[in-house]
Amino acid sequence: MTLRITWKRVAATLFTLFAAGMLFAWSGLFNVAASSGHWPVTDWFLHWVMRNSVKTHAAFSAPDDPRAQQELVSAAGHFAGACASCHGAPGRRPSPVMQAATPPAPDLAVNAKEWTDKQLFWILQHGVKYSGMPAWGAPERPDEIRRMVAFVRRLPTMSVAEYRSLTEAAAGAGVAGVKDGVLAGCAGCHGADGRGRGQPDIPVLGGQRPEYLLAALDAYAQGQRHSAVMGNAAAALSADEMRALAGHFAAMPGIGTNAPAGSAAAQRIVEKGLPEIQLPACASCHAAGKGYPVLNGQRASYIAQRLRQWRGEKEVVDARKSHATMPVIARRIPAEMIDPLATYLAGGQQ
Amino acid sequence: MATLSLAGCNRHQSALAPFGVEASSTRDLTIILLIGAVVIAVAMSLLIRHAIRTPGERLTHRQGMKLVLWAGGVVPTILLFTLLVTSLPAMRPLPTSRADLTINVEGEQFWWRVAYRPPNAARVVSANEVRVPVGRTVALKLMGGDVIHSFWIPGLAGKMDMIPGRTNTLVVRATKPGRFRGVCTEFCGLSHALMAFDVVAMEPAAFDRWLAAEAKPAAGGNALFAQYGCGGCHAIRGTGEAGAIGPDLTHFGARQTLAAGVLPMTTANVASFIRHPEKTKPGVRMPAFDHMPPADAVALARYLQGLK
Repeated sequence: MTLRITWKRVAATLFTLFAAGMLFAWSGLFNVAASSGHWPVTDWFLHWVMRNSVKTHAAFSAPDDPRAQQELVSAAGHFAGACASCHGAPGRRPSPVMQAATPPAPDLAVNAKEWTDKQLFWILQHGVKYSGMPAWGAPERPDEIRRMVAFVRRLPTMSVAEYRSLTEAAAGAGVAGVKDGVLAGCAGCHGADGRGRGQPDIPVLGGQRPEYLLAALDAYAQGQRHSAVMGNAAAALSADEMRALAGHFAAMPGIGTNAPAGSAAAQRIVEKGLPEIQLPACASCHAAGKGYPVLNGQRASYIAQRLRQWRGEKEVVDARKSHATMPVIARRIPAEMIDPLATYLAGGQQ
Repeated sequence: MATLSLAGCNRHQSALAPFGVEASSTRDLTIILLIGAVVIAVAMSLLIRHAIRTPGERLTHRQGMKLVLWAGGVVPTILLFTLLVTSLPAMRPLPTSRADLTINVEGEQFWWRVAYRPPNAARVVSANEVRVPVGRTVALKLMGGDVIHSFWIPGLAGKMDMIPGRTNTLVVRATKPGRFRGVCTEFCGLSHALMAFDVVAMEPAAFDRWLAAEAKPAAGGNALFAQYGCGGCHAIRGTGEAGAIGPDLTHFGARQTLAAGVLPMTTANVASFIRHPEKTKPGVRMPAFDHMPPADAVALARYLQGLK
């Protein structure tokens, strides 16, 4: 017997297959339980699709400099707070609760070697669908992702002692109203003295205005100020804890005592601004008695990094960038003056 | 005449409702040209109608050539020459003397920096409002502060470009008092269409009194104004706030509009403009102050409105 293929029969077959598929989906017979895992062939197929997707997309869209060179402390602190419960860390097993997921999060000591820096950057930036891996909490902060790439790259060879030294610092005396564990989390990156453990990307907190630190914590927690690292840390704090921590760190010795020093051009911008290009003087707001953060003595690398973040990508037109106070002003600072200005405000040191 | 009746649509900003010498002569010329154009169009239509209805060979070759010479050459030449001669005086700027008031106006994105330079007196800085005395000659020195703008008070005079690095002079004389409006007529950025200003023509004695009051410093400073660093860009004379980047606010409360002729001067408008100027004027050079609590913005607005 011969079966003649006609358009009608093809259409009927396709429709029957579609209807059968929909019937199966509607019936609920398909098992979405994480407890049963995948068949080996399904597991292979899904991972094969995922790896191909990451490789292709990373090749096209990840930056050419996906890895920071130093500055591991803030990435390590974020890893300890946000990643280690699923992935584990040197000296710390992943949580059995999270390992009961399908798929379970991979051990990065093994898995990180399979990816290039660009691929790691892409995965950290975008996350992976259907796997539980979230996208980076602040898409505006590729610098944070770069530092995390550097940290993850180091994981396969990282000793327990090294991990501890990156994520833990002596917390010092406790703070009333704040659990020791919470304070230890802050001190892990900021240091017990609030000086940022010498990290170029972490600001000095001591000597800052407590109102400003509180507003910053609140803005991080609300997502108004962009940082996956600080956003994750601040979201867990209650209003009382934020107030106590802001007061605790602001009361320490730190910035605001040393006089600025450095280039005369930077001094002119700070004291007089550049009216010819509509750049107001820094000191018209950042001065004693005014409601703005203290800059004198702040880490130069941190100031420069903040100014560059505010300026944003030069490929994006100004009309599409933030119109908030500092982004507008930072965009008017001549590009070559950012580093001299930061150094000047820092008091002459980097 | 239909066009003339449009003048009734907007007495504040219309070249057909002039309140100045130059705009009046422009309006008169427009009317003469309009009447002339109508007469010529009607005459041409009648001639064409006549030519179509007339059987051929009515004119000899010589007569035809004569008609072409007169109707196509001599009469148009006389007409155009007459028009040229009558319109040339309108191109001549009004004569000025050293005793005349000079007003510097600088176009900025998207506002107007105004400085009055009366003869034998100190200059008086203001913004977003131009006041002129009726019956006196005033020389407007027009400059572009950042990009090219164009200055036009339709009821007072023709437009003139404001070009960075160059000073263009426009001489005007107002003929009747009133409150009018001027605009920027050269695309200058996102908020070009939101760049206007108030024009007030005043009786000379009232103008002199006003200018003397405008020259005075403000009544007093304000803690919020200082605390939020507003003086980095704005000046309030007499308070130590001396920023020259944005508009001078010494007598801000005496202006009737806010944001260069865009919003009515109400406390709510001033407060919301301080916190989010970009919502009123996209691309505005002033940054948002959204970290300022709304209550502070209202208090600051009340202070600014009190600067009469």
